[in-house]
Amino acid sequence: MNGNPPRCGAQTPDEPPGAFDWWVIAAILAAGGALAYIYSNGIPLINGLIALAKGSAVVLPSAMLAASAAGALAVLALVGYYLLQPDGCIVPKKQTQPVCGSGIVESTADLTSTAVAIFAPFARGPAFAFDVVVKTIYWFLVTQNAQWVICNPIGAAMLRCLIENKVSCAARIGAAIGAVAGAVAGIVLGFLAGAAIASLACGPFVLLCLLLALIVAAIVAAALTYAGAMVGGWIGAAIAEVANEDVVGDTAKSLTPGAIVTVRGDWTRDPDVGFNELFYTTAIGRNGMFPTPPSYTTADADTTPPDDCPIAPVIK
Amino acid sequence: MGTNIRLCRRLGALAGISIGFFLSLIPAQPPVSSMAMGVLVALLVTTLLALFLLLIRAYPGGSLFFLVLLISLLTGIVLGPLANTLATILLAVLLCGIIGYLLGWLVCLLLCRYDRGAKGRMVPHER
Repeated sequence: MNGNPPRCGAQTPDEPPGAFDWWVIAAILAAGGALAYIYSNGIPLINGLIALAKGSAVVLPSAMLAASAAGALAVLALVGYYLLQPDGCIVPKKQTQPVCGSGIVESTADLTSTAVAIFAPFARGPAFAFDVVVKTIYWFLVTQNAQWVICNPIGAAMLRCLIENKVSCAARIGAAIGAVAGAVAGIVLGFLAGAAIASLACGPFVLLCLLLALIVAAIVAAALTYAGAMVGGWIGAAIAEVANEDVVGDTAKSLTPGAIVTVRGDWTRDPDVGFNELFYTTAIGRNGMFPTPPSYTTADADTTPPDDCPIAPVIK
Repeated sequence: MGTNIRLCRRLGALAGISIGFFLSLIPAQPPVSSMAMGVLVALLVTTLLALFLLLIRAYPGGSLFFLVLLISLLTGIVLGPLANTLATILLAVLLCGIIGYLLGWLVCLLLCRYDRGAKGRMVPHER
């Protein structure tokens, strides 16, 4: 074994520098502008639909229309947040580099969730993950620029390998389309529901009634927008399930602790904790099984057969 | 509590935007009423977000709902009267959203411990 083994855990005393929440500030600005505009000017098409449903046009300024639009916009923002994640679906990944490494699989985890697939298909993350105790020559994959080093219970450094969910991108695009359709229906029905409550005789509680009417309008619109996102996500996922092959995912799911693997993928650093990872793994080569159960040492990994990675790993 | 500061900022921003929007739409109230309405609105909106977060991630539920309660109380009391007196939706949403963001940040800065090790653990789901 060459060199000193990596120190496990935090490599720096501080938290990893997170990106500033510029998009939250942008969302605040956009929300304020949009709602103020809708309050004063209404929404083209929606005003016409409300006139059709109610038999009379929306009176401007309209708090009820703005409230239902607020509910719909909140869900649209949520769906948009997931759609625009920098994971290669719509927005390219940040600062990744293709690398190759090998070692022994220490542990695996199925990251899919039936609840998420049904109730939040636009929020589906990676499908699978496994940690590999890497050979000594691949320690740099774990340590270079890392702020955290993942180790197994006996202190061997590991590389986290993530497997992309093959239906995630299509589900997010489908959810976005469904959310827009749901938003149109939601704003109209939210307006009508809120207006019905506001027209009730509330006696001394007229302001509470008004607040309740606004909240109901927002909730109805949000619920219908969310329902549209769910349905759109299901349809997108179903199409991708049929259309996409998932060779890497199928191989990953067959891995068990002890599998000797060569992995290739896009090497980057986890933005939250700061460990290096493959996001995502693009190829898995299986080279047999290690004869003993986990946990594995780096020395164990070093005894595994030679891999077919480039002889001189490129360090950038 | 092992919840990260980014979550607190976003909860605060959401609470602030909601209070700014809803309370700017209703006529001016005595401060106590607007505080109560502000807390109610913030609690409702942040609870819905918390339920969504519990669906998609393995957050510790008790800690999350404690943060929701704390941030809702703080933003409701501070921002309710402010939003209720502001003349325009745009100003109310902007000001309350930004102040809510900062209040959320403050809550976590004072109360949250960031557990990086816990985040590094894989959480398997049942098939």
